[in-house]
Order: sequence, then structure tokens, then C-alpha cells
Amino acid sequence: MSSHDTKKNWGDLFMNGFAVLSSFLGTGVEFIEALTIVLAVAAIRGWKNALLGAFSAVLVLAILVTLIGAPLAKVIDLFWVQLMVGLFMLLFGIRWLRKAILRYAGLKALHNEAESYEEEVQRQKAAGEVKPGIDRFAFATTFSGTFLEGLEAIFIVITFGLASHSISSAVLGALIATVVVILLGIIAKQPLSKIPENTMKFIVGIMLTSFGTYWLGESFHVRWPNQDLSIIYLIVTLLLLSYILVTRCKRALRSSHGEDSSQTPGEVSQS
Amino acid sequence: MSVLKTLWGLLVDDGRLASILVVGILLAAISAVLHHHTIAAGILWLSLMVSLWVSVSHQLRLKTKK
Repeated sequence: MSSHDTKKNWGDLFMNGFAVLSSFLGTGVEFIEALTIVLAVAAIRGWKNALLGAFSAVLVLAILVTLIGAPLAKVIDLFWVQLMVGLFMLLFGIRWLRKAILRYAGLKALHNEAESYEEEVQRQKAAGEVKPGIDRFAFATTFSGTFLEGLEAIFIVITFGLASHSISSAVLGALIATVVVILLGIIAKQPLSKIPENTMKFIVGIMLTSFGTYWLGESFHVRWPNQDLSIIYLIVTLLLLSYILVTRCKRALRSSHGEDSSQTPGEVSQS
Repeated sequence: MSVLKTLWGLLVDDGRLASILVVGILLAAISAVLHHHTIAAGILWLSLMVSLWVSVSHQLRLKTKK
């Protein structure tokens, strides 16, 4: 085997591993959010209605992917695939990355599955009695929740699959995430609030942003220094920037809180 | 309409970040068309850093003003 082949094999292995891991983390976050909705609806309005809505959404998504997604990927020219996938990865990823930075910095409340569960339970209770037959409120809640989270999961699988030239690896990552989340849900029988969702979103955000930027650049034929290695440079600089931003924000918030507390006695005495 | 809104929400939740990024992408595309391929890569990288910095700094300003 030539050194070129060995290098290519290692490259393929890296890309497949990247697709499995990124897809697992990205879709895992989405499935945890969907599971919270299903568990809350099931607790108040019964498992039949909750699961009916969730499975219907999965079915509709599967039909959409089969009818639109798969043929589209085969027909579109490489330039448009790189442009669209790159742009999508970048916008989607940087949105997650920004949100994770804001949460680490204390500028945004950490997403808490236990709180989301409690809110959904209250909403389901407020909707009144459970109707016999198919309960429309429960069905609509789990259908829309699962559909939206599933749609995001599908985008994640497609973008990571195309970026790594290995859709099967990305699908494998999503399947593992599905099994893991369902098993954890069955074992815990409550929302998965101990899963470090923000860290998962941060990692996937960094990966999506870096790969998205690289792909977008490829569609314009930009000259990346050291070609594929630029992805590593992008990842490192994004990690560094995130660290600087989080540290800077934390320091600014601390000093602003310090000023507030030092002003309080004066305000009290004036009143 | 609500479907489009939802899809838009999947990609953009801060107009400031998205607009800086889009301007950067357009500038990078123009540079690449003008055969400044390395500069185009630099612009793409820079637009990432600037858009994140501006967006997070704006959120920080809002929070400290409260």
C-alpha cells in the first residue's frame, strides 16, 4: 500500500469518526428535547396519545427525507451542494456556538430539561380533561415537538454526512443517539436533566461552524492554508475566541455586580 | 408562513451576527472571483470572529445596562 493510500485511509477514518461523533452529539441534544415533551405529555394525558403524535411525526419526516432529501442530494451540482451545505452548517452551527458561549458566560440561563418538563406538564394540565379516543391537544404537542426537533436532527445528519462524504456514518451516529436517549429515558423515566446539553451544543457548534466555513470557502475556491488542516486552525481559533469571550463576559458581569452592590447602601439611604 | 418562520429561526436568532456573517461571505466571494483566493479565506475567518465578538459583546452591554 502506498503512503498516499495510507494517508487517504486515515483521512477517511477521521472523517467517518467525525461524522459519527458529531451526528451523535447533535442529534442527541435534539432527541433529549423531544423526549422531555413526550414524557410530559404522557405523564398527564397518557402514553397512547403522546406516542401517537411522536411516531406520526417520525413517519412524516421519514417520508419527507425519502421523497425530497435523498434524490436532491444526487441531482444537485457539487458547487451548489458545497454552497448550501456550507452556508447551512455555518449559520446553524454559529447559532448554537453563540448560545453556548452566552450560557457559559452567564448571559443566558442554562437550558434545564427539568424546568422544560415542568412547564410542559403545567401546560398539559391547563388544557383540561383528556378526551376519549385521540386527544388532539396531546397529539398536536408531541407531533409538533418531535417534528421540529426531528427536522433539526435531519439537517444535522445531512450536513455532517455530506461534509464527511459519509451519510451512512452520520446516520449511524443518529441511530446510536436514538437508542441511547430512548434507553436512558426508559431507565430514568424522567427528563434527562443531568446530560451536559450546553457542552454538547458547544462542541457541535464549534464543529459545524468550522466545517461549514471550510465548505463554503471550497465552493468559492478560496485558498485555505494547508488545505484540510485549516479545519483544525478554525477549530482552535474558535475555541480560543470562545474562551476569551466567556472570560471577558464573566469578568464584566462580576465587576458590574460589584458596582451594583457598592451603590445599594447609597440608594437605600436616599430612599 | 409559520413554517418559514420556524425554518428561519433554525438558522438565525441574532440579526447582528447573521448580517455581519453574510457581508463577510459576500466579500469573500467577491475576493475569490477577483482571484484573491487567500484573502478570501482570511475574510471568511475574520467574519466568523468579528460576528461572534460583536454579537456576544452586544448581549453583554444589554445585560450590564440592566
